[in-house]
Amino acid sequence: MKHKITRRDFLKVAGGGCLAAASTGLGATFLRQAWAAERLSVVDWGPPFIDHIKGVAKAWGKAQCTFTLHAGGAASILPKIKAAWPNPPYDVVDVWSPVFVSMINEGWAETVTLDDCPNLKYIPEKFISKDKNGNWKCIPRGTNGLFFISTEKCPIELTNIEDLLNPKLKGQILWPNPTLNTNCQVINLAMARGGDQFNMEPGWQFLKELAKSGNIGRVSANTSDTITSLSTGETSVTFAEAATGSATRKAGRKVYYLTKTHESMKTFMFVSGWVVLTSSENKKLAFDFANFAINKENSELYHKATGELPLNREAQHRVEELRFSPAEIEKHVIIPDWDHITKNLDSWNKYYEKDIIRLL
Amino acid sequence: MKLSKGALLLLIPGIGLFLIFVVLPIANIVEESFRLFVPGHIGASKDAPYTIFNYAELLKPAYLFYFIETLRLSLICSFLGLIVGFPAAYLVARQRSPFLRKLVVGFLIGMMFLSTMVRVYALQITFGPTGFDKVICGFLHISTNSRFYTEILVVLGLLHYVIPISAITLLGTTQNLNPRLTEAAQVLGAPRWKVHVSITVPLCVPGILSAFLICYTFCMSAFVVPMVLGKGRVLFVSNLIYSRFSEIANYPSGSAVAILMLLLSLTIIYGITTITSRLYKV
Repeated sequence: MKHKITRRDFLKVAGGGCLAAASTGLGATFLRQAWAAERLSVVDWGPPFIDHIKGVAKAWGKAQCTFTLHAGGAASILPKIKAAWPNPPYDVVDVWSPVFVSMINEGWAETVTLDDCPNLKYIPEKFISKDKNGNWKCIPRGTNGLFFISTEKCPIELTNIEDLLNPKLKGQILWPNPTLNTNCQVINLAMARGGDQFNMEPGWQFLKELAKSGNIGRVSANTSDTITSLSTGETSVTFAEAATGSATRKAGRKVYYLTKTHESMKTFMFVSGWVVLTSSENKKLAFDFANFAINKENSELYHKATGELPLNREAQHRVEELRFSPAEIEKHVIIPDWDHITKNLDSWNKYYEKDIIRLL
Repeated sequence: MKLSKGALLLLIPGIGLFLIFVVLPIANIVEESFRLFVPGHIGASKDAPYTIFNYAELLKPAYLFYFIETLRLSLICSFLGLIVGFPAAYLVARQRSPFLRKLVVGFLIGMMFLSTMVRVYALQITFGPTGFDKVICGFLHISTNSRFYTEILVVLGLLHYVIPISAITLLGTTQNLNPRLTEAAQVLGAPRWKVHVSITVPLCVPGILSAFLICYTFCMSAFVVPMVLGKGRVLFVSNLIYSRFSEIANYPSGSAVAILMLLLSLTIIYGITTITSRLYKV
């Protein structure tokens, strides 16, 4: 028996379907907005950063915060944001200098003013990343350096960068891959041999010698690799930042920051902080949260938790290895051209893949 | 065979899902692989010009190293997986006690459910500086820092997956073997080893081929195992793809590597299947 579809049947089904679709769509929109109003989605690094920021969020208490961890370097959040754009599920992201550049270039960073974040008045303006029109685009929280680190397991005392080739360091060096630390380690090698961030060939030659020497025991791809390798004693020398050193100390290793050892071993200073995404539906809340996170008290807590130096002028810190006199700044400190580094990271990574890995 | 209207209607959802979740993403990746990447940006822009540069740079000899490394270690793991998995499957199939059979099959299946990170880090701890690396390297007269030892760790990590997979895949094949054939051969005076070589193995070729292909494709696409156990020195093609997509945001280059690897894998699988079917009339 054939069932005849009448106009009444058709209209019933079509109308019901449209109502369902509209209510789902409307419902989803309302739900999203309601959800957004009650929660703030924050992206941060793993321990110790995430432990610190959870404490800050609890003390702030104006909204429920959900946390996402960076998987690897901070740049790995960028493909996730791009894939979900214009509706990424994040409101505020903790990143660092080269990633500020990428996010500003993509138009993802919301402009911030002193009205949005009054505590920015305690942050030196030179540390606030701007777009080409001079608009402030980030809320910096701390500054840190990338430098050579050794542990008590290191068989020799490192007095200059050429000591990395010492045969007694066989398998003891944990070398970061180019995507970790944006290849500042090779820039350091280049500078030691007469090059710089614009002339990297001396650095690559040095790295080839290092790779052939057998002194590189492991190549690290993220901070967890670094902390695990140093704390287990698998390796004892690496190039990393203070937060990694601090976490390794907490794991029970004696860690030495080689920031003022010799002028061949440089400290690359960078800034880390918050970016509120232009897509966020909770911008006011996000700015308020970031503003709270950079006040004096939280800046000091941040320093204690992570080892990074607070940028808030009123906050105190005790990392003497990262306190430089003007003469020491001249000798040991480099502030790289992050825009140049970001643009060249792809070609540097390919050079490393083609010419270095086979030698390891 | 002409499909009825009903059959076609039933196929539509499956075809639709296949198109949306398989064909469309691959087409997207293919399109992305021909786009020009501007460093400093995330992926290629929508109006980026088309180029074959991403493929041209992969044809350099230096990148051949990664493909060879991936294929070589995958081949080694697949063979070792078969060498261990086939006797295990045969023993389970010929096991008289149903309880023991169920126990071993349950163990093999249970192994497949174990978390990847747990396995990989367990191996790293066991065979790393806090484990037995010095003992093993001393026995093999190699350095703990040597590339060879790192390759051994990667192979061990992959075997953790591959052995249960190959044993379970071969279980059906070995269970379907008529035991009277091997008994007949033995009655006629053939030694055990010859019985297995001339009867058991040839009759199991279809299953062995399936198990090998499953293990091989699994090993070639492995990502976590070489990333953690490879110490950043033994890298698979999947690690290159990951670094391009996740760390550098060079989607076009990552897409090109992925497509090239897909084509290479399909070619190898086709080649192995064709050769085997010609030799054994599978």
